[in-house]
Amino acid sequence: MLPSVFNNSVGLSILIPVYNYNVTSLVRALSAQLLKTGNEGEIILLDDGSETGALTTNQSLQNIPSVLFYRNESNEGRMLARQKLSGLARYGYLLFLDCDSEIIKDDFLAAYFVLMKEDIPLASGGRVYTDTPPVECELMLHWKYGRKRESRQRKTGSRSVEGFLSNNFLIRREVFKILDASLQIHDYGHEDTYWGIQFEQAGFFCRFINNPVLHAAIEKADIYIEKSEKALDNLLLLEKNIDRRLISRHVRIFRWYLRLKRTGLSGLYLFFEKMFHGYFRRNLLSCKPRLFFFDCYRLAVLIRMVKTKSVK
Amino acid sequence: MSEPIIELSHANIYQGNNLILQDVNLTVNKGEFVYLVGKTGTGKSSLLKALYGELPLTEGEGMVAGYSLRGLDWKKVPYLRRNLGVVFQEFQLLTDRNVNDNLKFVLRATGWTDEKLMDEKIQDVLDKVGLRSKGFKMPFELSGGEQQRIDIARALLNSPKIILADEPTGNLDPETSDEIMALLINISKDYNTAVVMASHDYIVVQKFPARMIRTERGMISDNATISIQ
Repeated sequence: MLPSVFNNSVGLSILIPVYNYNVTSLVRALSAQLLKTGNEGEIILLDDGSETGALTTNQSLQNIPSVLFYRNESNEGRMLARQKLSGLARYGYLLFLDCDSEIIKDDFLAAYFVLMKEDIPLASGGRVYTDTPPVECELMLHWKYGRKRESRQRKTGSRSVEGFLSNNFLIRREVFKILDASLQIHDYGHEDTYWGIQFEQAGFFCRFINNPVLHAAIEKADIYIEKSEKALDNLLLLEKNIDRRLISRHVRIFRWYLRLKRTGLSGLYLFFEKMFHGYFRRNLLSCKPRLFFFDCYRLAVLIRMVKTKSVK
Repeated sequence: MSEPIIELSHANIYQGNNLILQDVNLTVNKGEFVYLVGKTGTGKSSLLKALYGELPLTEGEGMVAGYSLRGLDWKKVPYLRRNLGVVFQEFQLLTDRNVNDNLKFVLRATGWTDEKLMDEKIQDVLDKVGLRSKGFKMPFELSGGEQQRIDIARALLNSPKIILADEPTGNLDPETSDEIMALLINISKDYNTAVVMASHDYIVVQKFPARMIRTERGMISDNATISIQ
């Protein structure tokens, strides 16, 4: 093939922050698809302070020609890792993938190359969860939440930053640069919200395309609840820096929280929630968790967090 | 009367800090077919990138499809590109869906929502590339030439004012190359779309003579005297 004059504009840097996860099958699938499309591209892995086992296995992937491997000595968080990765990328388009993704479509990368040819500045491919529920009860909460809330099927092309999911998204490098890196969110949760809001403010609406990855790693319910609580902490960090109305457009729990606050009913809500708190928690850990209870539970956690912080 | 769609005047084109092409003066009119030739490294791709909004124009003036290139805000670049259809040398069709659905995927991704309008548009572009009856074919059922035609159909979807074609005959046998060349030339004539085609293929250029812009030694030379036969 002759050298293309549009190489830089259609080249793709696939960027994957890795933390304690074996990404061999993900990277092999991506590298095979990249080769098949015949387009310019690279896969950059940034190990974010993983323990030795996962680190060694993943390190060997740099023998694949299109793969580059870097590492952080300590865990700096996904947000910082993504920013570092964007600095290492060679091409004009970036595809961010979470390390626990599984490729389920033969045309996964080809679909993104089609979008790149059309100069789509920002697109999200989404994620799906397995059709069959997990056998273990303790995995049910995450699976159900993922199925009902995250893998909603939307029409290709629908324009939305609401519920922007950052696990699998394509972005022009210039657009990524508009992200304000000053607010660093560590741990789990709501980087997506923060980024979605910033893109929206800069006038970039994310195109949703039906090009999902399978979310392979499902957390046990107790860990998932704990992570969700940490995510609420991040939400409060956002509240200090961003207009509340914007956050409430993106986050349902936050919308409810503002309503209760406005109507002065948060104290009453906490009183009733306290009576059911134990019941909610038991339900969430059971084989038939209800997402409504999960929302009620998190709403109470959020209100309590605000109260504790304001006392401090 | 000829109406310019691309105009560069005293433009200096830089790649980073390196001056690649100096004092470029170039006018391409609506409906004109133009070759862009030149050895690798002579600035051919930089010139296309400048037209495409990929390289900012900081010295001289430039207008492409009504957009001034000088000081063009990068956020406006996607709007400029809506007026440009780019045909690539490697055609990329999604193998899990038929031709119609491939084109519909592009339309949806570029903001189309009305199903009826989308169907009409797809029929329209397939007509233009002579593949009206192939909408329900799967990509593996198409020949290389047909796949390249579909890529041209894709480039036509958003009714571009200019088509930039990058070695569109690069992967094709001579006979199929001729068909694709005839198609591109017809598109420029029949639909008043300017076509700028980068090519290394001197056999094609000789067989289908047209105005030729050559990049060499940091300058462009323009052979505007040869008209399409």
